[in-house]
Amino acid sequence: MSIDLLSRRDVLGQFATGLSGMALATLLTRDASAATIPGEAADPPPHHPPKARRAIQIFLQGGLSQVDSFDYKPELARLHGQPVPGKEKPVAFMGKVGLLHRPHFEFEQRGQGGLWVSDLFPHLAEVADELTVIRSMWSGTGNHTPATYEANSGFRTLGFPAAGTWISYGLGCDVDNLPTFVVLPDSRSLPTGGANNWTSGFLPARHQGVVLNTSGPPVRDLAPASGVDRATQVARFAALAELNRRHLEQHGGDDALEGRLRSYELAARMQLAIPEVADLARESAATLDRYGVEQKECADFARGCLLARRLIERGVRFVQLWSGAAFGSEVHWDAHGSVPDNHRREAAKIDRPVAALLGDLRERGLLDDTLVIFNTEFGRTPYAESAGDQAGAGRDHNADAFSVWLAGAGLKHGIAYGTSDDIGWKAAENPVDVHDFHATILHLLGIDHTRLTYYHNGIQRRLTNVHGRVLTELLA
Amino acid sequence: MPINVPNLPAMTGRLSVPRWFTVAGAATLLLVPLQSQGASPDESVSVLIARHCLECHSGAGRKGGLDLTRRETALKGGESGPALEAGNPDRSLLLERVEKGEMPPEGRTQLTAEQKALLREWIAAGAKWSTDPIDPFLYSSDRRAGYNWWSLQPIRSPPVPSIQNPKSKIENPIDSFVLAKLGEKQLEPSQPADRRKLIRRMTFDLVGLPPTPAEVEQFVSDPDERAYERLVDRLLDSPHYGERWARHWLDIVRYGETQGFERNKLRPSAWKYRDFVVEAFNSDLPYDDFIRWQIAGDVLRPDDPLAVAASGFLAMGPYDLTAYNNGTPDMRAFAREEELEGLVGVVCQTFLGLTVNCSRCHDHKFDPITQREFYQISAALGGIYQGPEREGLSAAGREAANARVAELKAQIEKLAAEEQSASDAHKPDLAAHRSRLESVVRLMEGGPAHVPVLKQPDAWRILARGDFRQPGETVAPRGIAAVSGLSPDWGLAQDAPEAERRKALAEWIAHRDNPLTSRVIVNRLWAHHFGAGLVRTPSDFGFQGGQPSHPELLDWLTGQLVRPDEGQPWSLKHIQRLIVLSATYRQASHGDPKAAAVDSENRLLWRQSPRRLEAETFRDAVLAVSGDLDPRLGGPGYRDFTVKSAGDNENYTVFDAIGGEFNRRSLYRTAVRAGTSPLLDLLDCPDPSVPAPRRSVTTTPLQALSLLNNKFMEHAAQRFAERLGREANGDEAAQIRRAYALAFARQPDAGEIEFGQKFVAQNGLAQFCLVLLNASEFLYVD
Repeated sequence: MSIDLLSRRDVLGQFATGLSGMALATLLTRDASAATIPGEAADPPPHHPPKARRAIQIFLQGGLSQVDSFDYKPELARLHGQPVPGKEKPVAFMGKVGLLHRPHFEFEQRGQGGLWVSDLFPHLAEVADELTVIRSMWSGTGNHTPATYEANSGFRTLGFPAAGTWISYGLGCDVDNLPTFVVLPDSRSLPTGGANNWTSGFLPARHQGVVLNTSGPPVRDLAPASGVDRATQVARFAALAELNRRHLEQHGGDDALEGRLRSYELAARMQLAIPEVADLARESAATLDRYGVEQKECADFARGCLLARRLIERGVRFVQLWSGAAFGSEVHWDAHGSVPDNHRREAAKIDRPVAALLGDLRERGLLDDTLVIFNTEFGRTPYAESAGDQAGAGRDHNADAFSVWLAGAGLKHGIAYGTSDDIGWKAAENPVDVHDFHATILHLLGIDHTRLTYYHNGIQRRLTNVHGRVLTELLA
Repeated sequence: MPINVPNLPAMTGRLSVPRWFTVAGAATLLLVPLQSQGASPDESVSVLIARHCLECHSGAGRKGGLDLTRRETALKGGESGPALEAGNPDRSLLLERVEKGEMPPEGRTQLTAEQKALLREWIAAGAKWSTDPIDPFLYSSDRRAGYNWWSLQPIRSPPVPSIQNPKSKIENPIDSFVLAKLGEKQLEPSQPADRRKLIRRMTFDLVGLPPTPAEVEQFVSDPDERAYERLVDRLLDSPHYGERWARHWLDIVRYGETQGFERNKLRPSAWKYRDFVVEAFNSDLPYDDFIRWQIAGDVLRPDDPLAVAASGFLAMGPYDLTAYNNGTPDMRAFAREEELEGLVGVVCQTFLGLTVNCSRCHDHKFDPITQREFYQISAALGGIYQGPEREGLSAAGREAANARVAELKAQIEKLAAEEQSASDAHKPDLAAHRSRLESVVRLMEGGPAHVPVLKQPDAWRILARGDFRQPGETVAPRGIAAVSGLSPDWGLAQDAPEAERRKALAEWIAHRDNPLTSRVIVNRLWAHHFGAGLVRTPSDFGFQGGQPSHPELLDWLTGQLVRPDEGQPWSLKHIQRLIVLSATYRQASHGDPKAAAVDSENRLLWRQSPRRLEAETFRDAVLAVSGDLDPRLGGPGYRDFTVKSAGDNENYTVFDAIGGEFNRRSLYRTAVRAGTSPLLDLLDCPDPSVPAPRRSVTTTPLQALSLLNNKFMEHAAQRFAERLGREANGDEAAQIRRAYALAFARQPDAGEIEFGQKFVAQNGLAQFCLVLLNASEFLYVD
């Protein structure tokens, strides 16, 4: 794939000789950068002035341990090696309830706001003042896949549209030469559930997340499978335009047929736009270094974060980055065996790139109207996953309390909202469920979560089902 | 719950009214007690309360603590004190709020002066409840459906409208109903489409493939005035008909060949259910049996391999094996409740167009279905689990099936011999019939099938808020009272055996007096012939769904299904035959700004709607045109993916499927959850995780890129070009003519030939073929 495979000038040049005046005129009067694809919601947003125009989501699959990252629990350290206090019998997904284990990483108060962040994320700790941490998240299930579906779509079963597709459906895209919702999977593999995680579900297919690969051809079928030369590609576009225009005229005009004609014009533009956005060589050495593109342990995620910035700069509405590959082998945050080993390895991949992304967005002024979301499907138990009389190094799934954060537009920065109990086991003060979380994200994007609906199979569906409260306490 | 449903006249619209009402204006109901017709003021006020008050002032979540369903609770009042004082209107808070215009609240339909006066008069007269309690589901309102909702009423036998001096042809009563409605809006139907367009349209509609150039020319030049009827019959008899229509069915039952979720294991024998559906359509299995077999085939006909395979329907949904094998008890319980909601949803929406699943946590917000009724239905399905694949056929059935297999094999041999000596034109037809028999043999031969695992349900409890941690009263398996025409009481005790539960449910649904069952399937058939149903929400005939555009036509056609003028009842082919033989179906699809100004959505059917090929049909057509289509029916699906097992999980990586077994129809793609085909996705192939009663049609630049650049497309274009080389003797103009005949079912004009020749000279024939396969004319059916 190279950018000059099909340059814009060539497209136009060939169209000029091969096409009727009408088709050429339509093409020439449109400026690629000005065109937008609107959403198609029946009650279209904005429902109120948006704070954020776009969003980047970083999703940690497997379950980030809250008590080892953003939820500081001195009491847990004090009770290390003791059983869980109180009457309630702890449960564990893997069936092994060990003794309480102290945080595996040291905590410190960071930045001006004094937010507690552990040494697991030394780079993120540097930008702690940008973060709005929620420490009282809870999920309906401690089962990875349903919890991941819930975190993405609000439902614990498959087939419901992901938040990114709802946002695409509501807001559309600022440009027409790039997809609205782009997904950057972990370079090790797609997550469990694959494309189910960014499916458009019952929403029209154009809102589905489009996978952008950080190596190899960036998007499927962007270029011909065989090496068809540039002239032939241009000739194909021209001939199709001619055939489809004639067909349209013979059918007395028709929106759908006109849409087809236009889709090929946009395809030609996308062939130029995507390689351009994917070409990180256009970034300065300082930027590449800042993200860690040259650092072996974090190069992949660094490329992803940099791509995310380049995508939103060019008008993409929603970018989702996955940290964590499919279950089965340990290539995600599911630290059953050893939190220090697992979390240190996974954090090393993302810490520097995510911190660089926040800093870079801030310096470019983009953080003023961009929302960054950092979440996971559930947390981990404060007690070890080990024999009942031991405090081993692993932790099991904990749906009842975990930590996530938001950053950017419209938020109070450098604060923590909600609390878990003294040992970080269950959400205590101001518990937040995924519907509240989604409602708040939509709110920041100018969307009333109760008004963004789609009729499917007898029900007016929403991202937030029949729930959700905007967390006004987090809003600036 | 009282099920004292008054004998109401049939509904004609959302705001249809009982006989003591007259309608004033489009949306306001004017209450006029018509004493002469027997309604007392008490009855009228009960109606008024049911319509305007009970949505908020009844049930567990009643507003202000006020329950107006009973006289006693109304007199007692709510948080603001007593609502009424019988005989004393001026001391009745209810009347005060109403007269001040505070109730019903803003945004709701307001009461008229006459209604307010009636209310005053009624309180003065002692505020008698004509029925106590008033059932909040009694009447439809502008907010919700009641028992008198149109789709719940018995099927009528509407007279066929007589059309005076019709300007267009009337082929059968369908046309009379359509012309009557068009006439009301001073619209006229379109001219009949020409024969080329008709054969392309009907071949795609009935068998999902393009007609061959020979078929087109034969039909176009056929002098027989019954040429069209003969074409219809040929296509309905084609074994490919079953493949086409099975695909529509699989969409709504969320047919999936893996479990979904984390484990996502393959279901290696799930295809037997798919093949049953194909054969059911091909053999025109009466629709009532089609229903019975899917819900209870294993217990109704344990000796019949096809009926047993049909019960695979019950085990097609997603299944969270992780929750069962590794989860905590709460996770298992939750997964189970979700599964049951999905099952109730798919059974009731597929067959009845009722969203019973919406009343799992509370009474239905829009339709007259109680939460209790959700659990009555789920009690009938509560013994169904998923588990390892198994032989579902009885031992006696095994023996009978073996004998049948021997017969079929003899027939297959005979057909194979006939093929040897048949003409080239006739060969594919014989081969298709042989392939159909081979498919049936595969179903008969037995072996493991993906059928449900069954257990006797424990005491079945209503769960408060749908939460398994809040069990309440127990219920028996039972139907839904709002469905008129048959009793919801199945005569089953709470501990009825599992098999009896499903049998009763199947019989209740498949009963010819169940008005929903027949209306819903007729509407589905219609939708696939016109691009939209008479009711536009095929799986929702409740309040949130739509009104029929032609209620009388829907009922007439439904009558033809259940009590046909000729032939056997429940024949789907009979209904389709009526539809495609109508002049309405045969209309041209050309736009008309004048008609579009009156009816832009073509609800009145002033033309046939142009339609884009569905994802699978597109891919099949590409294969057919390029000469590569492998038309064999049935059997295990092709797998255009690699499976990597990691621990207990299966992960699927999809690749571009080219050549070999991938030349089979797209129906045979193994339906992997979390492993859909990117090419098909881009053409709106639905995710097999949820039912898809209607497919969306989207057009995107990524779709364009895929159709141009995808390896499968490039390969097909190359094969198409090679075929032209073989069939058109190296003459460029002849190749272009042949290409147009294959792809568009027509001949190119001189300008098009010249255009094509120029393009081929510069870019080669394969590129030209690729352009044709991308053309709107190829993707759209007129």
